[in-house]
Amino acid sequence: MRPSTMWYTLKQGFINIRRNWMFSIASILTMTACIFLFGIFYCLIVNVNYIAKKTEEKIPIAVFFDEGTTQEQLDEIEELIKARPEVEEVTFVSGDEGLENYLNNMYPDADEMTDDVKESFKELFLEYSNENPLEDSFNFQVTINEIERQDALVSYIKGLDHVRKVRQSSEAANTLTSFNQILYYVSSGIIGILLLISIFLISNTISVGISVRKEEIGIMKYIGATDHFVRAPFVLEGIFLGLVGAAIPLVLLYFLYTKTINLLVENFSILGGSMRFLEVKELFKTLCPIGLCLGIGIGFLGSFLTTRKHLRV
Amino acid sequence: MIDLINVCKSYGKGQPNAVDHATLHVDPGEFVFVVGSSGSGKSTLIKLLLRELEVTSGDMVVLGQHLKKMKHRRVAKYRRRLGVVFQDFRLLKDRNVYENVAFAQRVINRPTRVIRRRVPEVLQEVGLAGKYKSLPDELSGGEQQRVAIARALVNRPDILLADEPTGNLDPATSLEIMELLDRINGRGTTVLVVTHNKDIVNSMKKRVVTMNQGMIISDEEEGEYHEA
Repeated sequence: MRPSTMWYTLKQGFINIRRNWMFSIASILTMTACIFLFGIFYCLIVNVNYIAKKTEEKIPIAVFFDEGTTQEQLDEIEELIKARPEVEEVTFVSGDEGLENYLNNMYPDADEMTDDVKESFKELFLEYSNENPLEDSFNFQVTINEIERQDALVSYIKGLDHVRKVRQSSEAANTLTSFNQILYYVSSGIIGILLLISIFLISNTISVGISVRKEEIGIMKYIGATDHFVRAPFVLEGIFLGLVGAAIPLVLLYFLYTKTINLLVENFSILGGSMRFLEVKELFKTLCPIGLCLGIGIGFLGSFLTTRKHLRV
Repeated sequence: MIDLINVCKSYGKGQPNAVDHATLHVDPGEFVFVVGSSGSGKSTLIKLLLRELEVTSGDMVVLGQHLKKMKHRRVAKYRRRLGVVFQDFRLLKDRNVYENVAFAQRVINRPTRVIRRRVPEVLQEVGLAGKYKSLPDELSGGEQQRVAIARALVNRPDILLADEPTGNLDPATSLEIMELLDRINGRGTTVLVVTHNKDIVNSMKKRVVTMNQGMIISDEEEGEYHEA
């Protein structure tokens, strides 16, 4: 395409927008609402995923061994596990420590007991049970830094000699994942409806533009303008409306997200301690291109379909 | 240049043919009047030549191209070899004379330097060189039709099609427009004029093809307008 033709197409696109400014604004606002809602749901989903991941990373994998596994064999297994890049830390938990943890879990007030009371409690328990029932439950607590590789790591550990059982504690993460799935379906439905409305409104704006310029289009076709040449200004108009309709909510979301996260962390310290939200820059690395592509895509689709329908002279 | 071979055009099943078994041959450089009363099929013939409509049966070969087999994407290029003038001028009201003519070059992707050279040339040819800044509404009917002719000519078409070009003009202006078309024909462009202006047809002594109810009922060299 020649620069003069490109300039002509651009100019005609903007003339269309100016001529039908009310419809153009309506299209931009609908698109803004649509992408804004999409952005909110996206922030929620991504953050829930992020929190689930962090939660999973905090909960270690427990590796149990066959009865009679020697210290040398344990050391060897520990080295093998540590050699994996996704492993952050490997801690050995002996049978005694296991019993103590068990008691702490069974009696939530155990933290408030003095060491003497704890010791007598333990002795009493051993007396009744004759021996520590968790004697053979010595294990490695493995924390990881890449949750995506948890399953692969578990499979690897299960394949090692002398390993009896590997326990993944992913309940909390699973709950969050389930919540995320519900959120995903609900948001997909709402966003889908809004996208259809956006396509319809953009298509309507383009139709009005076409009807206003019907005579001009007719002349163009008689003179020998190609379909692409006739369509280009309208498609450009649609893309521009989509782009503006996506840019506005993205800017709004950027500031809104930053403010909200700051507010949550400052005012609800309990959240700040246990939960970590995704950094705004990290979030926008994906949200920004997705939002813009969505806007441009809807604008293109709405205008392209409309011009295809109306411009066959 | 133009060959119609037993062409029929119907607007729907059960409808009478708007063009009925028409056969016509036009050589390069000819000037042809197509005459007939309203509903005789003249305008349908122009639409078929423009490939705005497709023939129902028969074949149409224009500029060596079979219009019946022509794919939609090839129509634009084909139309670039035709110039078309309408009764109602069809000028863009918001653009001046220069822009209206330049528009025809712009839409077919001509470079700006070509447009700047060619548009004044063609405006000179139609006698509107001094009015290139005027808007269509500031011009008389005859001048508006000259702009339309300039627009049709600017891309140097092989064939100029004119659908009732004098329909909205007074007799004196109509004659001027016909003389202009005759001059254009004199430079080698094939001209096909659809009209029901009896006086003009009779005064110009050109080939006259008469249509009635879609059929070509007469075809005469230096003919006259015969009422059907």
